[in-house]
Amino acid sequence: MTLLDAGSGWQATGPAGMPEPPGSDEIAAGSAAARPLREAWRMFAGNPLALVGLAILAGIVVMTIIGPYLYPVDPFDIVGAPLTPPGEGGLLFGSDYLGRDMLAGIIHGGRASLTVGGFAAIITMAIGISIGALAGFYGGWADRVLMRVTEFFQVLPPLLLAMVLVTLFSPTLTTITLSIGVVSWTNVARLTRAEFLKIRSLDYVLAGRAVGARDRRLIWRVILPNALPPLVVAAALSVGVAILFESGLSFLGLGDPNVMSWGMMIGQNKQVMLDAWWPTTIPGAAIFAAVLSISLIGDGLNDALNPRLRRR
Amino acid sequence: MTADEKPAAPLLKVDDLKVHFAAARRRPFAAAATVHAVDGISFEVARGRTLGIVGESGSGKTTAALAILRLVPITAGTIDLDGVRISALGGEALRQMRRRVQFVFQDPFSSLNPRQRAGAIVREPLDLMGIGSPAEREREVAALFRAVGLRPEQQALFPHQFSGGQRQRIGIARAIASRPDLVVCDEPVSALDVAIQAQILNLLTRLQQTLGLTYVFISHDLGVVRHMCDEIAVLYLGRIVERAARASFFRRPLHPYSAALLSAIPGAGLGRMRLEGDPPSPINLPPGCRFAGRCPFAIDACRQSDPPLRAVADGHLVACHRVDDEGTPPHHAGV
Amino acid sequence: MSAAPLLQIEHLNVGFDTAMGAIMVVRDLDLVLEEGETLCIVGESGSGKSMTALAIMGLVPEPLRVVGGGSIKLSGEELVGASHRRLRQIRGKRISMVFQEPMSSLNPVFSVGEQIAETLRLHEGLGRRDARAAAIEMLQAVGIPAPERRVDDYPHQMSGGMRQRVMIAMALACRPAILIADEPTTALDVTVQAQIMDLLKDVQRRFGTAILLITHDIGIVAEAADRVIVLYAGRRVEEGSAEEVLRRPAHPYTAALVACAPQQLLLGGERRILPEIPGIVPSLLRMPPGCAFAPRCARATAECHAKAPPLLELSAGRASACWLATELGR
Repeated sequence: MTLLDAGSGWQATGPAGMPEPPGSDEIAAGSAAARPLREAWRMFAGNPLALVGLAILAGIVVMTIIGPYLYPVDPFDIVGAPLTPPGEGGLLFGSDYLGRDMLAGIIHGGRASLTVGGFAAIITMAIGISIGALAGFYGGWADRVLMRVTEFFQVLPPLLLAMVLVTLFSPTLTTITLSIGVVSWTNVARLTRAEFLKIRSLDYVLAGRAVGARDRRLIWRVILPNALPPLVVAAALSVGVAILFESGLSFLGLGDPNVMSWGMMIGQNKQVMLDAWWPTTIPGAAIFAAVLSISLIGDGLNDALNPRLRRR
Repeated sequence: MTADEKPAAPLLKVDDLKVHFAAARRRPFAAAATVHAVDGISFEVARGRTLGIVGESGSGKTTAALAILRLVPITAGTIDLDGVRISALGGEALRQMRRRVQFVFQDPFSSLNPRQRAGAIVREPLDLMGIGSPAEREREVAALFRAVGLRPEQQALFPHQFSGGQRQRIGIARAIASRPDLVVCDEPVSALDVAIQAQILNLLTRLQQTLGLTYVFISHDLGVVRHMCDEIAVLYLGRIVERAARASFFRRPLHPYSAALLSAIPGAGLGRMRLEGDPPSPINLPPGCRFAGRCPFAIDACRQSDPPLRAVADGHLVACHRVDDEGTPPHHAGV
Repeated sequence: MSAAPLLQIEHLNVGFDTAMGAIMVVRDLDLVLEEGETLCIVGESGSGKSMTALAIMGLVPEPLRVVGGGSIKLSGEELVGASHRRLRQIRGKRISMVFQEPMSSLNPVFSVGEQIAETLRLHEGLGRRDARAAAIEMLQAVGIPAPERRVDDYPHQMSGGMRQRVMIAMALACRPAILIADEPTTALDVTVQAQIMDLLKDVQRRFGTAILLITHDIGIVAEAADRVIVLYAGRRVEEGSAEEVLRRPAHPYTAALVACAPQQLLLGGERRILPEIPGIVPSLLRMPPGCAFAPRCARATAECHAKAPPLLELSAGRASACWLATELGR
């Protein structure tokens, strides 16, 4: 049989484009994914490990910001006998091999470590995203050139390169931050490029071009916001990596000699490591806590921003 | 709607358009093969009319659409819009041209930026083209929402909060926002449920009437094409194999491929002409007629020489050796 | 009534519980499939048609479950609650399934021959050589040219139509009694769709397979179905012989679907405005209290909005869930 003889009493129902009944669009609005950010936060807040990480990091940040005012002791001043054990002589964390206050060192050193970590991560992300975005968006020879540059940086051992840079430009907080940023952007660039390659072929990018958007807008306002979730995770983790980097450089004696940092505390006290546990263990624990908390936050963000893990 | 009214200069004129691109190499150092996605097509569309482009996957219909919008590089040929050679434009002139030609996408899910609110999506062309003052744009977006059957307060929602049909309405609102002359619709209803398809088709019809729009309507569905289009061009492997006014085409499709397309529609009872195999790829093209490999009526001549598109009746063009000069097709499968 | 029907489903409910209440994807579905016939389940996306197929296969995805003591009987044998082992024996051997997207249902790292042979070795215990020979025979049966050569091809070396033929060959390799085809032609080109529909009819004739065909396309129902069940928002709204249902729909939803079909655009008179169904399918979270179709129905009365109509038997094998059924079905 054919449909030709399939008569039906159905009549046309009113003009086209008749508004749909109110409420029909709230199918999804009522469900969880109404607002992307709020939903991501809900996922994040439901993850106990991520919250622990956030609490630890918040504690460290608050300590480094207001600590120096509550405990105004210069970490370079000698305040007691060398290697005073924790709790004795009014020194909560004891003193180091020169008799300097360890607590003051942790508080002030945290400031340096976190500042370097934060700014180095910003530089890492800025270089990585710019290069990855241009390579992924334009493709062709731009992609080939930029990826060769990326590979060049990738095959150099990053710590060695950072050491060379720091030695060349004399170690200050600024040069250390810049060096760390310059040696660690390659992964971010590759990640950004992969996301851009994936998103640039989607219809809404073409739609943007069809309504007259320029490349600049497509890159920064259309594709980048959609590529953000994995990059946010990468940014969080790169803060942790940068803190470790700074500690490593300071440990090797390539830190800024005028600024106390956790790595410097470990580096300078390393020769007394066998005589007293606290001058190296306490800053080590501080670094551990900071990096671990950032890793936990990164994992939590990864789950919260991953659309496949969302829903229910 | 009167077919005999003589149109003035066409709004859109495409002449011998070709879009070729390099295929991905199978092995390193292998010679790069060329994909003849669109291989010399010509047509005109009068203002206020609708041209249907019909074809299966690999026919080049989407590439042709993107070429008209200058969203893929053109290999050869010209495109004129209202007397302006838009195929020669570049830079800012090309960008300004975009307000006059717009696009409706097939997939209502991937064509809207998931991070943009519905209102911002519709407003974007107005912002980018600098049309009106901010307050005027505000009013215009609200009016556009009403025009496509959405409520203005839905502007604040994100795309995922809408159904497929509603998303397609947003896409249409975006396309008509800059008051274009020409809207290219690429399979605008094929991703939607049947019941919703009719809603969207009715919306497009009504917008054409009220705004005087000209459509290039791309579809694989001959039923939809018959409903929407004044003229029909059938595309096969980058070439137009038949072009005719609607009535003439459906009364008597001349090309064997057109007849096969019609008879393939389930439940319509339009003959039983079955083709062998799938549409071949547009990479290694045979020397003769591109359809010869699947054509039940192919003779030696078809495999040797490529038939030109020629007029066999008033305004009815076909590219087939087997259609004689009186316009008698080898199949006789009229509707 | 002699023996038990080939497939009998009674009171099938598929759903899951959420904080906002139970969501039912399929509600109270009854269905009988007899040997050698083609039954179409037709509906839009979200109608529950695919979930019905998965329930028969015992493959309902988490968090959905078959709930409320429904029953699915294959030749009298209860499948709801059957062991995984038993279901595995039945799947591919007695009931098999063809999906919409042939590319994602074939494993890209094995040749098509190996994939067909795998089914045969698993269920029929054939040896490597026999299984390969049987695979070639099956490829031949589904109209693949030069099967002895194509048997070693990988899925990506084949076109979409070829891959769907391979899927059908794999599904039919063990001569199952039932073939479930879920939108088997939707992803294919028009001319290829027609080939695949012809093939399904052909293998049904040769192997006597009963086909449960799931589709959104009224044209396919018209062409292939013996009987049809129309689903809307998880419920049966109409059933009967395909010819009667399409000719004289006894439910406004069926009538609207028939009127909206693209084939009507091809055959009917010229209209500027098409008949349409306003609005969209209701959210499963907020089902209207009365008839689920009432908010979109041009003929809905106060009674329709207040009370869901039961499935009313109009004649033998013909039923409609509409308060106006008797009036419409005439």
